[in-house]
Amino acid sequence: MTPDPATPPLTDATRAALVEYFQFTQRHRAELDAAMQQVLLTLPELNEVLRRMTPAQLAEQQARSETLQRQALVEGDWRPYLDDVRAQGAFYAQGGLALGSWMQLMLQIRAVMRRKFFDQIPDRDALSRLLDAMNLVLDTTMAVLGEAYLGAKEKIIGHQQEAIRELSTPVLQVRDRLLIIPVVGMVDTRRARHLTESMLKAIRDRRARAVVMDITGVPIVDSKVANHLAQACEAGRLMGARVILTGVSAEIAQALVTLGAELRGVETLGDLQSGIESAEHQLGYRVEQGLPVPPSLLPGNP
Amino acid sequence: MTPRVLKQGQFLIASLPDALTDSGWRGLRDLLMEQVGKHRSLGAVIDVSGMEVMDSYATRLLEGIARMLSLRGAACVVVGISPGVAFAMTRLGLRLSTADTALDLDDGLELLSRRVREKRPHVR
Repeated sequence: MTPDPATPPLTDATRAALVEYFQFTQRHRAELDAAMQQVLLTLPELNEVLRRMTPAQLAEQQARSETLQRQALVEGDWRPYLDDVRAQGAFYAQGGLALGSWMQLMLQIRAVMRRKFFDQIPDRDALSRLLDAMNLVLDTTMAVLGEAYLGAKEKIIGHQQEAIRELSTPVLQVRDRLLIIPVVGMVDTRRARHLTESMLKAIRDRRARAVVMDITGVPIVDSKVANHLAQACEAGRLMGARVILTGVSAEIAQALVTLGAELRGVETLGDLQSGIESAEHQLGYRVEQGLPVPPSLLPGNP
Repeated sequence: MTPRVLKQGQFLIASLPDALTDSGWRGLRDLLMEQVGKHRSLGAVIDVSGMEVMDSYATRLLEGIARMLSLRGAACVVVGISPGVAFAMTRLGLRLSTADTALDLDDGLELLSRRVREKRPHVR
C-alpha cells in the first residue's frame, strides 16, 4: 500500500526520534492531560465541544487517538492518523468552529510540551531530537487539518453557490407559451450561462413562443453581461422563441451606449408590462378589462 | 445518403439525420430546389432535431438553402434545434440569420402558413 501523500519525509534518525517522542508522551500522559485541560479552559469554543461529550466518549476518543499515534509514530503507518485528522478538520468546518481556536490549541500544546521537555530532559542532544520530532508531528498535523478544513469549507461554499444560482433564476409561465424571467442581482458569466440554459430548457419543456426577460433588478450591465444577454436572446430565437428584454434602466442604457455595447439584435422594450403586452399580442391574446373599477377601489380613496 | 423530402399540402418537409455528409447536403439542396418547383410549394420545413451538432459548415449550408428557397419564392423554417445545440451555436456566433426558426414541426408548419398569409394574401 502506498503511504499517505501527506506523510512527512522520514529518515532512520527521525523515525527513532518519533518513537522516543511517543514514549515520552506516554510516560507523562497524566501530567500532559492535566495541562491540556488547563489550556482548554482558555479556549471556550473547543471546550464547548468537549463538554458536550460524555466521559465514556472522551475516554474512547483518547484511546483511539493514542492507537492512531502509535501506528503513525512507532509503526510508521501515517494514513489512519492523517485520515482521522482530516475527518476532524472537516468536522470543525461543518460545525462552524473557527480554525483559529484550533491553531491556538496547537500553539498551547507546543508550549506545554516544550516546558515538559525542558523540565525532564537534561541532555541537550536528546532535547533537540525530541523538539524536532514534536515539531514534525504538530506541523504535519496542522497542515493536514488546515487543508481538510479549507476543503470542507470550499465544499460548503460550492453548495451554497449552487443553491443561490438555483434560487435566483426562476422561469415563470404567465400564459400558455409565454414565459417571463425576472433577473435580480449581479449577473456574471457563470450565472448568465445558467440563465441561458434554464431559459432554453424551459422554452422546450413548456413550448414557449415568447420569453420576456426583465433586468430591472440587475444593478450593473457591462459589455460582457450585455454580450451574454444578446447570446441568450439569439439562442432563444434559434429555438423559435422571441426573446424580449425589458427593464433597461436609464443608467444601464447610458452605460451600454458609452461602452459601445448596444445589445444589437436584441429586442428591447421599456418595462415588463410592455414586454408582456407585446408578447400577448404576438401570441394572439386579447386582454379585456371587465367591469369598470368602482371609485372606492381606485388609489387615493380610503 | 440524401435525406428524404416529403410533401405536405403546400409545403415540403425535410428531416435531417444525425450527421450529413457533403454529398448528403448537396443532395438535400438539389432535391429541395427541384421539389419546390415541381410542386409549386410555398415553403419548406427543415427538421434538425436529429442533429446533435451544428457547426459553422452546417449553418452556412442551411443559410444558403434558406436563401435559395426564398429566391424561388418559398419560405423556409428550421425547426428542432435543441437547447444544447442552440447554446453551442450562439457561443460560436452562428446565427442562422436567413432562416426562420420554430420549436418543432407543428410550430414550423404554423409559422410557414403565417408567413405565406403575410407575403401572399391572395393565395388560399
